[in-house]
Amino acid sequence: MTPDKQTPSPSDWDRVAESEEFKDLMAAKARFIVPATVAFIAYYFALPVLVGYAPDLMKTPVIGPVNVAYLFALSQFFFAWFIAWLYMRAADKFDAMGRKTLTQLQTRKDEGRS
Amino acid sequence: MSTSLIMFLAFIAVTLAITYWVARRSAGAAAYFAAGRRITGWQNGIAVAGDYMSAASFLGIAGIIAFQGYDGFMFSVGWLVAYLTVLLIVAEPLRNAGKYTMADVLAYRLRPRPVRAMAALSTLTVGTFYMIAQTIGAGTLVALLLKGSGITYN
Repeated sequence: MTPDKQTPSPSDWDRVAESEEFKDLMAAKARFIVPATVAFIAYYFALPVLVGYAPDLMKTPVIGPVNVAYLFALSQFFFAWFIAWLYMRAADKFDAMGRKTLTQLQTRKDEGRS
Repeated sequence: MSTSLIMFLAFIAVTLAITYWVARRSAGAAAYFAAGRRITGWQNGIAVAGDYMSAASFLGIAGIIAFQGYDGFMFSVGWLVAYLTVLLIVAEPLRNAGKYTMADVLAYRLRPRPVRAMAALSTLTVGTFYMIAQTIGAGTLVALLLKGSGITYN
């Protein structure tokens, strides 16, 4: 019985999980996703916290009737777009690393068989 | 019939025609959930944005800002930031698993039957409350459209 290329056997999962490339990919993802998640949660909760506990600061007028509170809430949109743009760039790298992991696995399998 | 009512009916007709045309072409889960993975990020972004132009969110957010001012604005920011959670934590593992819904992924990793039951229950619970807001918004709109047409809405 020859193993099917398309449906991985359980040993394939284990081999991928143990490979250096896969560990690198997992580490690279954690290096981006953990700080990005912490940053956006902190930036978002800064809005209600500052509005609630530092109303005088948020009341500071900037342009006419527009005060810091309005600009800060608006900046959340730009911050979200910025994080999304960073993620787009990082995700391209993750996909390339994932493809590399699979090619390496296939090469090693071919070597083991011959 | 007023112009706005004609426009409304034409819009529904075009939407149904496009749906019919697409439904004949698409086959399989990948085609249904992910448009056969053939659309670009920008097209998908426009589709997600269009999806949010519903009575509850589009009219609801505009209304809450009109009535509550800054509090409503702060509320709308929460909806935006929730997208980042989906982007960073949910989207990629979901795609990598080759599944299309949260229930599919959980059923794949855990015991399927209880997971399916819980997913159905939470979908129906959230859906019911969401639809209440949605139908009230839609009803208000339709009442506005039918004003002066001779058809009484109430």
